[in-house]
Amino acid sequence: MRSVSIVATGKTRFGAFPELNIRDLAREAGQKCLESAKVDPRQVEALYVGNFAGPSFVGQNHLAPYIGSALGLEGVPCTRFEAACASSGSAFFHAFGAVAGGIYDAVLVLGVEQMTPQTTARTTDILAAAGDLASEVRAGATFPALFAMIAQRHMYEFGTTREHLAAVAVKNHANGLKNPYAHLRKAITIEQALNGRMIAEPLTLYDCSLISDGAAAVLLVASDRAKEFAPNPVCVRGVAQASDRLALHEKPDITTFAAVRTAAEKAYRMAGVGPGDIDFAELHDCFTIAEIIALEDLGFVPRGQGGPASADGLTALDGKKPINTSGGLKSKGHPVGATGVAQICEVVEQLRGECGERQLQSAGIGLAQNLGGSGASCVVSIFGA
Amino acid sequence: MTAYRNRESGEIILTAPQSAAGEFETVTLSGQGTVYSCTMLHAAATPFEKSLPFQIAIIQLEEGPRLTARIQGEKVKIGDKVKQIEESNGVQVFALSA
Repeated sequence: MRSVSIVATGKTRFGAFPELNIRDLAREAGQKCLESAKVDPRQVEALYVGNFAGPSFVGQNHLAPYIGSALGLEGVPCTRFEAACASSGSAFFHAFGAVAGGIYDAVLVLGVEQMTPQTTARTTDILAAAGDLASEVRAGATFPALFAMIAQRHMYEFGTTREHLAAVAVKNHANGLKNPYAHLRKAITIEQALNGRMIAEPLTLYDCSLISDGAAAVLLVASDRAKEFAPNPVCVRGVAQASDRLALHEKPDITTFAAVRTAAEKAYRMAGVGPGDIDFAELHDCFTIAEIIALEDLGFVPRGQGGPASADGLTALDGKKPINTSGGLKSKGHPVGATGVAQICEVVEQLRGECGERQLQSAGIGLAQNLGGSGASCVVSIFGA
Repeated sequence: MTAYRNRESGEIILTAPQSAAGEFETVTLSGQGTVYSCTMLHAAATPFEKSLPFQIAIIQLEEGPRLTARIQGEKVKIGDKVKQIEESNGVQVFALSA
């Protein structure tokens, strides 16, 4: 297997852009990515698109060639990947395999989602369809409700508190304030988070990520050709995808995600590193409890300690293990199909020292964790020199 | 409530088995269980908005399997004993045991 590097990133601002065409968002991210590496579209040998529900949100299907043609790609394979909120993480994983396996030298991976043309209620319906329709969804479960049940059980087993959850939201909003591409750039307090409108007990509005529009792209290149594209390529040290059952009630333990643990173990082994070697990470905080559990599943803290560690500042920008320097899904926003690649953009830009006000001092090895549904898909990737 | 028991392993499953998974017999469940986790919803998908607020739970059935159910009546918490009271549009409805 060949070494693979990222030579360029490109992204739109995340926000509410209901008036745009989904292709405009994708084109902006893709063009910025190609232009930053001065790449002619004809050098791109394939396009891997991550998108969860374009057909439901905006009615457009057959998205990958639609986007590819807008970017000037002619005749090359353009394919869409769907794995709920891990759609573009999955596109990245499969693109990596194609470059590592020698099929292509240069591949564009692009995640995009446009959600705000729909009402919040309709968006909730579309997102819920990533759960088990015949059982969970039929009983009335929404994604906030599923993660609320995860939070309740985590609180019951480990003593996690609502203050621990709120600490995650406060920290991610503080980080997002320093990210010009973030959707909701607004500082919040613990009191605000605790007193927010209740969505599904114990989760308030402040425990939930945002409904956003946006796109993000990275250019993957065989490492032996990376210097032709950029002076500062970032190596993909490890990447793995894992799956699990959709329905929460079919998982033996809902306070941990088996797919995250499996993907992490494989990615760590491939990279030849362990949790202690990771300097910083972008974690999938679709809900505050998800970031707490990810800290545990990735081995950053012992099981049950994700809440106290978050409240104690371990994960703050100036903490020992900065998490979600971008602001995370909570503040940067969560256009679901764009999220996986957007996380990778942040890790790569931190490693290159391009993050401005939120730039970390020591960023040697970074990790991205992209979760789909209530844990039925997960992609973990590790980047470094 | 009915379920399917694997004649060899004794495992009980709630959804219709695949023929390749072995031989199954139909069994009747007691309808008794314990709340494994639960939440009260204050926002819902469109078809359920008029029922708000309502509670759903993951129930650990006495016989082993878990399912996602609607809770009727009094609010439940983890560890509470519950019993099945009806099936409505393919959804099991549970309530606190007396």
